[in-house]
Amino acid sequence: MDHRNLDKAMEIFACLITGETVGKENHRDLYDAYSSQAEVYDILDAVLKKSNLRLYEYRNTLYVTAGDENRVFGYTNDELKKAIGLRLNRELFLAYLIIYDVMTLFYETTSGEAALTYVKTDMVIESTTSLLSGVMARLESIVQNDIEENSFRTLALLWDELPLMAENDDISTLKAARGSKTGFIKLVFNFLISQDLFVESAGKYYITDRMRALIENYYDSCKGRLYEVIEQSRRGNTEEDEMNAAY
Amino acid sequence: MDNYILMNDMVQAHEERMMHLKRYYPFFKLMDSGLSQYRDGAYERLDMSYIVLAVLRFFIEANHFHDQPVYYEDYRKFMQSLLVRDFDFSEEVADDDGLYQYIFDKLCNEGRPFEINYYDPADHQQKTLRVRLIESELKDQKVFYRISSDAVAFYLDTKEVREESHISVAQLLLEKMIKAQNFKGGLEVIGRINMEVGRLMEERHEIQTLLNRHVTEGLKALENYHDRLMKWFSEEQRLFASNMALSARAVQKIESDRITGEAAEEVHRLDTALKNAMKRHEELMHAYMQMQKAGDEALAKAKRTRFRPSVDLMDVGQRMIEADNPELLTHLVWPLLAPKIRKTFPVSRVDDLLIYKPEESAAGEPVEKGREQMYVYEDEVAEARMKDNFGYLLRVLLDKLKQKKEVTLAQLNDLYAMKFPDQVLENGDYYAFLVHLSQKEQYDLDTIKEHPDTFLEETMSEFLKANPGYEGLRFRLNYLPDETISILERFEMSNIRFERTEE
Repeated sequence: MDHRNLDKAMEIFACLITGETVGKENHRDLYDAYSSQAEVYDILDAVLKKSNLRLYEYRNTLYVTAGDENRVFGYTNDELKKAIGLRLNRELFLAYLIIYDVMTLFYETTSGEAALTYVKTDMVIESTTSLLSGVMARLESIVQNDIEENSFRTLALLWDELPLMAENDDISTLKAARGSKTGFIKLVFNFLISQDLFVESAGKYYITDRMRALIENYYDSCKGRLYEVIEQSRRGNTEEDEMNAAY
Repeated sequence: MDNYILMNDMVQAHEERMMHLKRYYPFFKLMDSGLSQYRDGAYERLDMSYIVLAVLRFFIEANHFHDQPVYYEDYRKFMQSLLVRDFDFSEEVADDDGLYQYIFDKLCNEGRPFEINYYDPADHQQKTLRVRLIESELKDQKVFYRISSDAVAFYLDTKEVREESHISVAQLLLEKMIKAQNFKGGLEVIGRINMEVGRLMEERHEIQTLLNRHVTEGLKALENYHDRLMKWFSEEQRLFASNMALSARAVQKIESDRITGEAAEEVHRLDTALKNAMKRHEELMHAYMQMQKAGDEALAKAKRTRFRPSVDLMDVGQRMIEADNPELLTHLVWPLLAPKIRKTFPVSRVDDLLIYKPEESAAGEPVEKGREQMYVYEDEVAEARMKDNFGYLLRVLLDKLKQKKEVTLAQLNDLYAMKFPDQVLENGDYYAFLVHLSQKEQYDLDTIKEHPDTFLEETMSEFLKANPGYEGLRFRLNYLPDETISILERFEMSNIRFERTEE
């Protein structure tokens, strides 16, 4: 193994995990080494695999993300609550739902072109409301028990209770806060900006290439596992319902 | 036969006609909606059709003539000047960002492309056409905007006659202009050629983006682009060459006839503009060649990944909702997050304390040019004030000692309170004076005058030199710890007896 290649691969690794982009625009020498020297590619691949990180290439730029259940580079729910500025689990799940909603506004399927170029807070409020109103109607027939902490109905109720805007708040100077729908969306958007997934310009939020890279690549490669997890959860629910019915 | 032509025009050419018509759609849609919905129609008088065309022209100027992207702030400034100039707005009224944002959102159709649904009789199915006026891009975390090729084509269509190639038509026109020696008109025509080249460049850029996302659609667009560009290119090049020759001849004639002034300047300007236009035209061809290579690569890549399954995010969401477990969302959200870095403090950094050199890290203070002036430090100001105050206090003490053999601190306080404002006993300098005075048990003013020893003695010396009449005076301090003086019912101190001594 050539030590210079090891150096290059480790340099790329260091850049990627500290959030710097490596590509044709930035750190071009490193990107060239990655794309033209097989050994650099192999070493980086091995190091990333051992660290349980996944690498994606999109428009001549490399992006990295933590793999499944990565205890070192992945976040826990509590860490994310702190990072977004939330306190309760249901608030965190609502934030996740909003992020999912934003994803579907841009992408219906992971191979589809993002026809939308930007979103604004009111667009996301509208689509989250319609997504959750669908949940409320659908779950009436499914959920018989009292409201559980971990259910979409809880999220729907939480969302429903939030006023559109906090009192004495002006839309132009609106603060990110948990007390209103608009404030909540802003909290989530600020978090997405801090994660380099969004860029804001004159009240419009644009998705970055990093977000495109991850959406267009990650889920496809993990499709099997994603559906498996969902199906497991569904089966678990059905079994529980049957148990309840038996009693 | 007639029937065949009729059917062909109606059925087969319908898609092409719709493709051509789509670029007009946003304009009429925007004109139709206008500004009647904004703030209850307060700005209804602003004509949207004029605003759309003006903004497009502004974008063409920046993107194609100056090769500059447009930032939102540029658009805002342009709109502000437009409202003041063309709609007689006052500067204050025109300072309304809400209005500019509203118009901009309309032009961008809230971030979505304008969509036209139509029926394609050849394929027997409903189809959708998408068109944008303004495209956005991200660079270095900033959003900038470019005019789309459809919008440029639409803008050109509003005045120019659509022919096979805008460039060739313009070239022929230019030829006529040069022959008629209308050089100013010729410059305008070159401007139009540049605009068309710019539009083709923009179209190339869009096809490149499309290739990255949708290979098949991208390749279709590339093929169409190729047909048009190659068909015209050789003809355009020939016309360029002939116009260059004409222009060169005009320059030669000007130089041989020694014509100067505005006419000569126009000929030179035309010649330079034509050379630049030709250069841009060649650049377009070069860029097109590059794109063809990218097209081949994209096709190869698409073939490789053709069978890769894609995930239907809507379906995934619905399944999660049916499972009624919001925690499943973590599987969708976590992959988007950047790797978490936990920062810790390395113990070895403690060593840095030993080798820390603040001079190296501190940024140098910029030295401004100017004349050096006397600078008085804060402690110097305080010292001067204390010396002044000590002088007053000293004078009272020494005068009393001259009159009487002894005086106590309690008496002295009363004297001070009488002679000076009430606050004297709360003054810090007074207490400083007492502390300084208590440093020695006896004072010989003659010695002090010549050889001052302490800070107070220095003050005394200056005082004695300035105020004669205290020669030969000596005094001693006797502390009376049993007697306590209360000052202003707040402070307490031991009494002191100041005694004049003869030897």
